[in-house]
Amino acid sequence: MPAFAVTGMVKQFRGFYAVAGVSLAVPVGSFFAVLGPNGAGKTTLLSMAVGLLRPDQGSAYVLGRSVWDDPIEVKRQLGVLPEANRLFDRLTGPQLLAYVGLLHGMDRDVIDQRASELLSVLGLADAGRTLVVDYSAGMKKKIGLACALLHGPRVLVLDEPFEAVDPVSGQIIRDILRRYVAGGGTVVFSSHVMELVERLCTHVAIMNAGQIQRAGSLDQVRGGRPLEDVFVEAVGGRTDVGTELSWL
Amino acid sequence: MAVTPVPLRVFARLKLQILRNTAMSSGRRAVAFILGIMLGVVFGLIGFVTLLSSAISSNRQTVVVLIGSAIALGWLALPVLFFGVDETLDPARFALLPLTKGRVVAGQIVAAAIGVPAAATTVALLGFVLGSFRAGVAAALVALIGAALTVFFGILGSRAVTSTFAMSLRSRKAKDLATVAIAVLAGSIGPLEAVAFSVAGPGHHDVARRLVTILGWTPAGAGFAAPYDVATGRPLIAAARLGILVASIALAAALWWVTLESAMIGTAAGPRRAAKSGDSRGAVAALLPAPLRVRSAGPLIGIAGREMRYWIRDPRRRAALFTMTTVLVVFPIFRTMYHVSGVSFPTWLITGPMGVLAGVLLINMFSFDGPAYGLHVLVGVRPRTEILGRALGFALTLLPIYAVANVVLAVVADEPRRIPAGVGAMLATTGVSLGTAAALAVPAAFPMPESRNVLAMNAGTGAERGLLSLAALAIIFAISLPALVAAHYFGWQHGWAYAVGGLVWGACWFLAGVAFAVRALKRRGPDRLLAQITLPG
Repeated sequence: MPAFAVTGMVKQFRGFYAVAGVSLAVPVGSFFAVLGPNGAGKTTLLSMAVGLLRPDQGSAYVLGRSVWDDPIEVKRQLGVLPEANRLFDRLTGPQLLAYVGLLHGMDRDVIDQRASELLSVLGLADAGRTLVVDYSAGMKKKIGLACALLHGPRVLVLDEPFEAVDPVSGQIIRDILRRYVAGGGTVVFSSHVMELVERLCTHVAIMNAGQIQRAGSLDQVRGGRPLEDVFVEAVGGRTDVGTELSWL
Repeated sequence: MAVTPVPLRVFARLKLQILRNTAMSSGRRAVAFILGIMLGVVFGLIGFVTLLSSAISSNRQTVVVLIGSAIALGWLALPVLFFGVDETLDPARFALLPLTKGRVVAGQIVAAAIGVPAAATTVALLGFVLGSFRAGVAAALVALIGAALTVFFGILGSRAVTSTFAMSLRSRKAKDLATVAIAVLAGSIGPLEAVAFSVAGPGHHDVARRLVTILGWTPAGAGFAAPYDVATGRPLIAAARLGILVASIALAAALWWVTLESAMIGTAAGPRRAAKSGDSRGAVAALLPAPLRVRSAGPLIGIAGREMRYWIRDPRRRAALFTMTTVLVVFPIFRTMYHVSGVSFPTWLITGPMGVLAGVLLINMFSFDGPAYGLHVLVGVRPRTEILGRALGFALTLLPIYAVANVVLAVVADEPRRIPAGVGAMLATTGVSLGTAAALAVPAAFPMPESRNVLAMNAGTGAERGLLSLAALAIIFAISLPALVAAHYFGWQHGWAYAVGGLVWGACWFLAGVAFAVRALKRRGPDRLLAQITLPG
């Protein structure tokens, strides 16, 4: 049974297919990257897979349960890194974590203890009573990750988790995620950064124009070549400037 | 390589392009833009006709100077309120372009002179100039100069103010604070005016005349008072008034010139303050306000606690709450103290409408959260918890204010035995109000713009919001009417019994509204509601 699976996912906006029939299975305990250029449909796909956006067609499953038929049970097992604007940002970091914990129905002492540890490890304890709206982009990413981890989910879905994060924080996040996967958890994340994906991931899917172009284990997809070359080949498009911009 | 100075028509085109792009970005904005043009035409024509018929008529001087001053103050204040919305206004956007300060100044003036407000003002002031011909060509000429200088003063003054405060208005806290101050001010204008006139006594016209005399010597009204001086053979007085206007323009221009650079490159900002130290009570205690700190806190208490924080911290909610409190609480207290109408009202006629209007704040409850509501979708909050938590948070925020107001009103009116009836009316109408708001919250939800400035352009949702509020008010009033009628008959003699009856009436309608809302949310699905309240893009 895969940790996370989508079958026949379709979503269109005003006649434009953002996701055009995607099927994907993510094995338990894998570190799975969904790669693709801007506008490839990654965020739309992940939004449908976690229950934020209703697909026109297709199904999504987390640990064998249907996201749309059994949402409450699925959401107990699922941790999602929300976009910055999906945070209740007029709360402080600790308040936001407490809120997420209470929504999950967690015990008050457990919330306090986990919130304190997460804030400390992610370097957010010093933010004190600063509201999340006043956090930097990197801090927002980290508090979002803390929200996703707080209830101890078995599957993590992260949209661009390393975007705008400084190298030191990036190292900490990578360490947290490695430990999470080593403990039996599954991570699915979207990214543009090939080097990072090659260093972290066990599995990769390359998406373009709403469809999966390549998918499998990292070695299968690479086929002995650098991932960037495979990505460019799969996605296509222009990669050099030619004779233009000669005035530069 | 030498850079050719940017022609001023580039700024004009930029302004027109922004107007066009904004209008064409969605059907709703196109409608808002057309409504804006229609309003501009209406205001322009009303101003034209009023000023044409009133200009240089000695008994209408008050009207002319008041309208003229209002136009000038509008030009001065509105860009400050809308700062950060019109892209041609913020000087910081020009910081990286190879433009001289003089060119930026000229470009901004050109940009300000293009648009619906400028056209409406021109039409209105044309009436003033044409009307002034009644007193001869000289008066008309002074009217033309006075009107043009007044508008120029408004444009320069507003830019000087926005430049001076550019950095502080860009900071979130300053904008939040300004938003609340403006909202409270807007909510207070009517009540303050009524109180001022009531304090002044029956001689309202004297007050207006004195006001006009003062305005005539300020840059806002001087340009409109000057033609009257010419008409009555006092050209030197007219010249003195225009001199005040010219001096004010020079002052505004100098202030703008001095502050423009710091506004463009941001040197006005002070060093960032260190974060306040953390809360040692633990995360949950830090989130929950005192009345909700219970051991068995769960999702319901969490949502109520977060809502209570948001009614104070979210600038849109805070502004709405403060405005309503000002209108519904402060005004009746003043009114009772000064006996504006000579008759003091029964308390329930004041606390009743407080409850009726409370629901208006909550009818679009999900949209206040915008995309953040997605967190509830991700966690899978149950519909009943969702609705009850929001209502509980709102009630715990608002009811203490109303309760205190009820007591203060009774004390001020020296009628403490009115307190129970006031409480009953408040509970009955607030219950009906919250129930109706809950029932409307899912089917009538619409997106609100992601603006921290509640008075900023509202992406065409104003009409939608207005109609929905009116419909909600009508429903709430109809359901509350029996409770208010009962207050009239039983409120005096059986105050506490009426209070219990009010609680039961309010609770029944509230629970009915919640039941309807829960069914509606289950039917629609939280994900669809999220899409409904989230602006595209």
